[in-house]
Amino acid sequence: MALFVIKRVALLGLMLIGLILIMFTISHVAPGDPAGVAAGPDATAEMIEVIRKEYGLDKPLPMQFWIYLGDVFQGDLGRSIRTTHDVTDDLLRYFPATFELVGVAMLIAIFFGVPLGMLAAVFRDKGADHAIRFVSVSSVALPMFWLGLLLQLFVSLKLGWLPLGGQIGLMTERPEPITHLLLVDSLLRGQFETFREAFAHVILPAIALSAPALAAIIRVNRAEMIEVLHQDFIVTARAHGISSFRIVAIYALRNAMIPTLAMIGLRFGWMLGGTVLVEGVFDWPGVGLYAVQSAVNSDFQPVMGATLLIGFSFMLANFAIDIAYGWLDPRLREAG
Amino acid sequence: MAEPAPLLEIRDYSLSISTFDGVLKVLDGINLSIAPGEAVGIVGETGCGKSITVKSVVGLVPSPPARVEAGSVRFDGRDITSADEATIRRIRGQEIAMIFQDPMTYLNPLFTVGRQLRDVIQAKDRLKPQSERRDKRSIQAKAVELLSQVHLPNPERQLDAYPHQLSGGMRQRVLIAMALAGAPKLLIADEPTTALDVTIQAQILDLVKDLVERLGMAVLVISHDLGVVAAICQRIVVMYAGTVVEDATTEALFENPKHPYTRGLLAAIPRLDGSADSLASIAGTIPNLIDPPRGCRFHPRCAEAGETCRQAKPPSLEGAPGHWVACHIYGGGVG
Repeated sequence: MALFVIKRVALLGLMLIGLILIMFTISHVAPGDPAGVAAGPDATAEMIEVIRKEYGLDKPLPMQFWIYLGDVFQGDLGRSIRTTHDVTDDLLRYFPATFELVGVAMLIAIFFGVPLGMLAAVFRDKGADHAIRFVSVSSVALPMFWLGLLLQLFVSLKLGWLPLGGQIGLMTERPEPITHLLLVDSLLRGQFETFREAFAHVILPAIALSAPALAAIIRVNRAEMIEVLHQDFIVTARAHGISSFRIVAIYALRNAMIPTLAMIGLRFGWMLGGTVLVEGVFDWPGVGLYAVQSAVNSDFQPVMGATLLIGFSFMLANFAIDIAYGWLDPRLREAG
Repeated sequence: MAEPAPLLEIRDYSLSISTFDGVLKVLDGINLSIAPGEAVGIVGETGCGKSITVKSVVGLVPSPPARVEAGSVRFDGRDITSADEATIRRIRGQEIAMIFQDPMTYLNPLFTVGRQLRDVIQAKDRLKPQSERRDKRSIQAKAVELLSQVHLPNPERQLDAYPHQLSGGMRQRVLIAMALAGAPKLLIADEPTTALDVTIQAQILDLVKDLVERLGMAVLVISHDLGVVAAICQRIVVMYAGTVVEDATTEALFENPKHPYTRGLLAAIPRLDGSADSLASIAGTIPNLIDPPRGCRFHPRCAEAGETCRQAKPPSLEGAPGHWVACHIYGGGVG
């Protein structure tokens, strides 16, 4: 297992450098002159040249890449022209909110998707199966922002059960940051009222964001469970009088979880992308909104910073899933 | 002298399975009985219904699509023909144990051998009163004991192994160990050696034979290989296309086979001293079970079939004592 983990950590490092290289290349061969944008529309050629020097844009590309790489690993992602803050500081402000939203959405998708998929497989072609598949198909068919709007209209405006948008009330006291995650920090600081409020705020956007992933997880898990339940080793377990619950929930589920995990990893990336829409609808102060606004203003550094961060979270999530594979399947663990 | 009451008795058992193409008449009036401690074999071609007979009897064939059309099954004095899932699971867990064809796929690849064996021991313990159940340590001890009973070297170490780390023969030993966990009265071995190398086959057969004699349990061996069955069993039941065609002691069957199908099977065994030019075979293929042949199901492939064979189903008659044959021509001691 140790070798398995070490190999994947090394791979993670390589992938990170690859990600930075691709991002850097795209942003530097793309049309548009960052120095010109930074200098403003009325700048003279000399002024642009000065800025070019200041930002190091006159150096050869490989040199620039090397410098950028060094900066990134020191936590320096440059400065946003729009907000005039360091990009790192901005991201630290916005990213935890996105991470929290995606985290809660993923938990919803997994904790409902896996058991529902399992139930649908066990009661294949019966009423429960049809009902679950109906939920699954509807979740895919509804676009996230549309579902978000419907939830707002119905649950917030009509029923008044949950807040309409935002991460927390303006007047509510925020906890001293520890992890920068509002839900976690308010719990750690013992501010349960804040936690309750933050939780109420996250439910609707998380549901909207989780819908496509939920559908995908149900579908994959159902199909895998059906296949696994036809395997010979299930006959063995049945023939020896092992209870149906244990057979389904332990023996079969563990086998079915391997492809399901792959789907979860993939969906994590899609969700991070999907936050842009959901954050817009729910006025969620996250990194998606920040990146979009920066891009609209040709503000390169924050876009690169946000892309890097989202890309890196995606890689980390898939790293975690790789490790989970190894934990689930002894054959993979040994293959290294 | 009264015969001992049979442990398992299948009478006039007919089973059908619905498919998209139609209803398969898989079993047609099967009769089979096993006395306590007796070793019986079922032989026949692939698809003749030997496997499904036993799987259906122990409730491992999902219904629907399968349906018992007629007949009864008694185990140890109880009628279990239409027993509910809980009852049948109790019997399966405790009194009837099964081992299967392919040890490769019949063990869960993601769990250690020990975990799977302990779960089986525990599942069988659950059927006992609280006071007789084992604690964790004695479950572990029982697992080690079972593995040494099937002569698996280093049983303690093998418990931590995953199935893919064991050879085919070792895996089959593990499956046999699982079967022994509940001290069953009947062991059903469904093609126990088909997936194994010849040398390993012999070892596994010896093991099964030895265990059956030592533990005094009855065994039902299912195989397409007469040699395998003859090695273990005192009595052999020959099946063809969902019917029992002949039922005799191993000796009688080999020395004095009656049914043309049985004789064909015996003739098809290659002999070391015979001519190696070509292998004997029975002409034709097994019939379509959606629309089985009228009369004797074997008649389209039988060289000696007459008009009666095409019209009427042959009754199973006891020609010599204990030698039953279902054939219009050779049944009832004729020929």
